Amino acid sequence: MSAWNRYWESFTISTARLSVFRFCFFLILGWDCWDQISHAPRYGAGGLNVSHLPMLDDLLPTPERLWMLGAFVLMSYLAFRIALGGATRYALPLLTALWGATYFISQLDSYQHHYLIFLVLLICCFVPWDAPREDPKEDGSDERGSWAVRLLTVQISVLYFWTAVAKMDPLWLSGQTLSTQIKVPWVKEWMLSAAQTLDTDIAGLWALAAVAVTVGELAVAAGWQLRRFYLPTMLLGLSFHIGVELVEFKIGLFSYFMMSIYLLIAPSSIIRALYGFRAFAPRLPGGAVGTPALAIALVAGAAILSRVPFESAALIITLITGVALALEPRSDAGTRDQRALIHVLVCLMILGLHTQTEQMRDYFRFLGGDTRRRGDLITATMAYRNVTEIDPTYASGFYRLGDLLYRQKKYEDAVAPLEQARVLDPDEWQMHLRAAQVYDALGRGPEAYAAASRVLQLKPDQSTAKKIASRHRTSDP
Amino acid sequence: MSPRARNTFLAIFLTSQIALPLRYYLRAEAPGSTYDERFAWRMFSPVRMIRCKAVYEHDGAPVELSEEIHSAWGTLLQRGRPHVVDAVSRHLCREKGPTLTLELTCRELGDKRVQLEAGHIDLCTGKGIP
Repeated sequence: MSAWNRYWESFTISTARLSVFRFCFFLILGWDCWDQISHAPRYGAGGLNVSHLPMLDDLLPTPERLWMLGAFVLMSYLAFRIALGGATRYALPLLTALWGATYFISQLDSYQHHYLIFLVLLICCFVPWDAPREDPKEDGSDERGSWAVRLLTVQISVLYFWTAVAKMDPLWLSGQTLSTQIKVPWVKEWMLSAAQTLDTDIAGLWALAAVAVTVGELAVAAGWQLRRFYLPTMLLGLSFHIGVELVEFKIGLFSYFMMSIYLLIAPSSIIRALYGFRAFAPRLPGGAVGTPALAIALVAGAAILSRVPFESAALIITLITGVALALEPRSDAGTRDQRALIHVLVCLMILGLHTQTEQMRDYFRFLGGDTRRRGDLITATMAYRNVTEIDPTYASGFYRLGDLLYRQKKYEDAVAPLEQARVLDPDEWQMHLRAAQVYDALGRGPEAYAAASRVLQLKPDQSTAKKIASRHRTSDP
Repeated sequence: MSPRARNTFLAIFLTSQIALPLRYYLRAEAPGSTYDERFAWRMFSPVRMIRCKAVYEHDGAPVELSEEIHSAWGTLLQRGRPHVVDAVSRHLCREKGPTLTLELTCRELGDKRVQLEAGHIDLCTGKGIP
């Protein structure tokens, strides 16, 4: 056997480690897919697009927001399902293809870690997640060979290596870049006080930190290939990513993805403890129900998803139900009852994400904002109507809806949302001003005067409010 | 997967991970050519701090970009990404026609100013503007 083959084939990983990694990584991935929902409206807006492969732009279709929304939700479903052990053999390639398509179709997604995720997913397609084992052990300590996991470790080394190379630049090594990138006051203050304590200049300290980061990244790149250095590599890498979170860089879920990837080299004791929870593979007690369980699960899943106010909800529910059905005969994980339960659980997770995050509201908010600016008032009105239905406490949504209706001269329709906006945010003068203009247009003098007077309380020099107030002064009760 | 297929996959995969970042460092040193860091694993690099200002004019009047394109494209214009600059220019030519000019000035870290487009050429016809 050649050294090349030996290198790839000698790598082994335990069942427990694979399970824990799968659970954590794909759980974060499902969350990340959901997080992208609010960005769907930017795709195809105004007919403009540039893909990551610009030479193919004339051949590739322009992405559309509804398809992107559907793809993000479906990817979220697939990632959660894989995390819970409900599918890998066909779900993973499907997820990889969707992720690749949604990433490469447009430079609107410019997160470098989304490119990394594509590569990780591609490699994961070759990981023997559920390969039969000769000596299965209850604690998951049985090992299996996997060249794909070896490749995953190589990819992480490649990432850290090039990231360090990018920093071998005078602007980085001087500390100038780092001190400009970090905007969190407490870090700046801490660096200043450290410089005073050490009796050195602050620029020198930033340079030292910048060099330390570069050297640290090179060390981590090497450490991923040296099994005996896994522990210090993990500690160094994790401290780096935790640090990145503490300094509040806006890099999405990159740090969390990297932390989950470190499970591949975490000490076995940690993996055993995590595997002990066994939440990674839900088991149903009692007898098997079989096909009826699947049918019930699909109906229940559709009913759960119908509570999420997707645009084109029918398409999305059909997509998810169809994929669940299509995966079923090809599934290699658990019993049909377990997979049915996981389907319902994942649908509940999506509903939970909707209720606990602002992604759906922001989807419509961003859609409304963009179409309003580009003059598509009909779509903008539809979008803000959805915003107000999803979040009845969001004053700005009611204001924008009222504003759009005013611009379309639908004065009667504009009254209710503007009044609601004024109730929710009584100190915002613009909401009172728009209400004054609507009442003025409707000839409702007392209301126009009252709203204009409120504007002048908040912003005494507002000229439009002055005009409306003076026009309706006699209406003052 | 057979060892042959696996080795082919590995070779393609690893070559791409060496070649794509290397391509970034080997490209021409023309102004703005290094602003596109995609696929080069240049996390938190100094280039990320570049801020560009794109001013389009149509028949001598400024174009309000937010009324023409999604603001996310505006953010990428601010990074001076070449493909996006070209695509936005083509898009505006299609929508508005000649005469369309662009003045694109970028400020790199250390306050170095780089003018990538001076606004002297009609982007739709390629002819100079007197």
